[in-house]
Amino acid sequence: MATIGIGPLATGAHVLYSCSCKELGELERMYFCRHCLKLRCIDCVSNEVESFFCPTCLESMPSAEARQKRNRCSNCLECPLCTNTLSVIATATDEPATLDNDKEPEIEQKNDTDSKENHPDKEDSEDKLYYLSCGFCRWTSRDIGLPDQQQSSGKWPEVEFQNANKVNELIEYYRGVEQLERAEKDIKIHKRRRSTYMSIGTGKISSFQRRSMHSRTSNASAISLGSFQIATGQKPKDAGVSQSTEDPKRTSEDILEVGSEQITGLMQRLCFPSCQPSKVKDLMPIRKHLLAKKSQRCKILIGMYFINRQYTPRVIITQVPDLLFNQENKVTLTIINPLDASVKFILSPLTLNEDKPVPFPQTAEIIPPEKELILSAKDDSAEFDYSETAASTFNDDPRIVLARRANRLSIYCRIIPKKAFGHVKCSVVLKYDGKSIKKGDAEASWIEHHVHLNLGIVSTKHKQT
Amino acid sequence: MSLLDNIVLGSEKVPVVLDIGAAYTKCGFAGESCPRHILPSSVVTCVDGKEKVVKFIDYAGNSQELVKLLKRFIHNIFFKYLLVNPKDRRMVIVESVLCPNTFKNSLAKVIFQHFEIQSAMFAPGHLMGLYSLGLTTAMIVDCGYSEAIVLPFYETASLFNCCQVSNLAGKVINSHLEKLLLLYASITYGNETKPFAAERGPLTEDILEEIKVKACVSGHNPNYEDNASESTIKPLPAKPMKFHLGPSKVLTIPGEVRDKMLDAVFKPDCNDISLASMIIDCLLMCPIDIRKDLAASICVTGGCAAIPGFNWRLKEELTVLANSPRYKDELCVKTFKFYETVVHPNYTNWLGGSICGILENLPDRSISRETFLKAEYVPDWTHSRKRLRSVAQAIMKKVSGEKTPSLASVVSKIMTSSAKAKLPKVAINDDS
Repeated sequence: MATIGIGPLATGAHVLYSCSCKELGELERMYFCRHCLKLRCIDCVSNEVESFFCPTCLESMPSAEARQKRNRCSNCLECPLCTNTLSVIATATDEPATLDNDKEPEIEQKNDTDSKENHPDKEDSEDKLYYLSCGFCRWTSRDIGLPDQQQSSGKWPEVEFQNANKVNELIEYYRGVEQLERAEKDIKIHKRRRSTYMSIGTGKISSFQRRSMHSRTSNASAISLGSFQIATGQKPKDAGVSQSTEDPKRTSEDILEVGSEQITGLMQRLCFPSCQPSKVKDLMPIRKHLLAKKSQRCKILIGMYFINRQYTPRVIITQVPDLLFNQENKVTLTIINPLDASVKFILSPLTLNEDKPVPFPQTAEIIPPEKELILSAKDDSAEFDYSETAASTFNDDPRIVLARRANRLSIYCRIIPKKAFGHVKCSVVLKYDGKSIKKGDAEASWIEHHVHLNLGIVSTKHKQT
Repeated sequence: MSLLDNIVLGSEKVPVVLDIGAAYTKCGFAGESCPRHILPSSVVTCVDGKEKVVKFIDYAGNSQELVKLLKRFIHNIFFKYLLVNPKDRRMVIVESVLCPNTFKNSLAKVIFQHFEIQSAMFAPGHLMGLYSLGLTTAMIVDCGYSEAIVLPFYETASLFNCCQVSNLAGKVINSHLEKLLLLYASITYGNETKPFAAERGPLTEDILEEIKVKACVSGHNPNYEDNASESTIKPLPAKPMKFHLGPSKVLTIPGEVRDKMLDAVFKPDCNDISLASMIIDCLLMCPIDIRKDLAASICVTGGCAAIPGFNWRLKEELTVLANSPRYKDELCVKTFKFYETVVHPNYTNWLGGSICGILENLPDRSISRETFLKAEYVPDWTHSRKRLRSVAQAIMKKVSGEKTPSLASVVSKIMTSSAKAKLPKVAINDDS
């Protein structure tokens, strides 16, 4: 019995499925709606962030905590040089890094005999120190002079942003400006009212307000860029967070002297957007960024969850001979059933109206087997069952079926390339019964998907012979 | 987000601030002091079974393809980096003042139609740069990857007629670096050393960018030899730098190349325009009374400003140029002062957007989803919100009437009205 493996990927052959919106994509990127029985691409799916988890320790984090921790895991750390996961290494205290601490108890021991007895216990249980190390690029937290931690889940320092205060000052400043602007606008509205309604009381207040506001806002005005207006503050008092200099700094000498391995690359810098350190010694361990678990719903039928590979039979290109131009070539396709029930299916060539531009122009004719074939149900235990009893029960025609094992079936298709050069592309309609997907609905029994095959490049052999 | 979270945290959604640059995109939340992530402005796509990195900058004209790429990109930003739901969220989008309309409209289409955000404020990058400094008078020089734009603001008014634009930015430095490497650099395999030109390997834009980031300095002023009297500071020659291009393949970059890299923007070969002359030309176009104030408040933003000593070199070049016979009598400005950006220069514009996003009048400055879906067009910043509404109403009227307007007529109408509105409006306090 021939083995059924994964298709010849090296030749660039691949299979694409059609979304209901005419977009093409691999089956892995497609979603299947259980309700409307159609494939949907990523654009036809509405996503929603549901929960957060760390991709390294797989621990989920409540969204309030995630927001507070800026979507970073509190336990897992990444190497700032190569973004590999850092591991915590434990060392005893007599490591050279902690030599200074050890000297002191020794001096004490000479004076006090009691501490001498206690000391060995301490070393076993408590006096372990931890540091971080990257298993890939050999970076350690000692390289940047981080002190070793007492606990394995020690609080590793994070990059501090020095100018955060200045930014907060700026925000406060603009908030103040905005309030002034709004007060000014209120007065304007007031003024207009007075002139129309001639109300004495409001008029008095408004003129008083206007005078007092005027003294404060006479310098306030709006930045305008075209009609885009934004208010800024009083001119004599800028926000005061930045100063101008007549002597801008020139490149410091330490950057001119050091080698390229001591200066950070761009991607390493961008891992720390706040300060973007230019020297390797300023890099800190990065806290692992969380991932979001998303719920995906059909945009057309809101409220339906769906998931892909469990419902759509998967087509794989298994064997491709040298594809000869204008001749019949025997190509082997494997169909895999992901469902828990046996499924009848039939392949037929896809014919489309020639007028409209097709997303996948066909360059070959495909003649799939005309017979209806049966795929047996997916059974996880069958993966380990090497007996060939299953194959014999289906009575397969050896001219059509090459092999059958568990929920996999390999069949022959005939391909006639119609172009003498380029990729051999053809499309088939995969029709299968979806009774097991939508139980109780007899009408929706057949599900159709358009499957597009790219079989690789036409062989040039016929030209030589 | 579940119902419980809404109760615990309050249903208020923090606006998302997005600055899509030519090379890098900055994304984060309003009110924060730095972006959460800075990532390349590109998407990895699958073409014929092979992965390919596609930059938006290459697709500026092709709106259909651009929409597809932007969908993927914005999806990643929301669900992979920021981890928030885009639906019914406000956004601040910081854009270049010369952002092509195709790009802007494609982006608006994606965020409003596909991601269903509540509103978006399209903020001009230079204005946001000014915002992040807390100033009212400044000359903002935005030197990023694909273009350098000089735009002065005086007493809160933008002087857009003095705007200077050129391509003297990161990309030009990269191509200049490649030329310099071919001339001066050497490559070593084990014990064998050859000139780089003979053993030219594939130098992609990414490698050039990496070399630029690591090696580019300005310690040695090239004007030093020419005008020894102008600059009294001794040159600081940079040391040669070694780069590992592959296993046992080492590229050696001489010290002078490290200094000469910046010549691409300060001493271009072909024409007279340099970054310094752009600033001086801009000053010359400004009224003579305000030149001194503007020259005393120059601020360079964008990725190029992060090159160590960039401002220093710019100042040296400006001083030499201001004293040159070409400008000496006209300019009337002797001293140039520079503002250090509050944060790292490559996200100053983003920071302005972040400040804008936290202010309470954000909804007034944004375009709501409904308005966009009616007009299907984002006004240029020369238009007001009122204009957009009137354009939308005009279109709606015409559509509801008997005659359906041809697209061309609507576009021409918008174009003529935008031409009228192009003159920058100077805001004057009408109370005084």
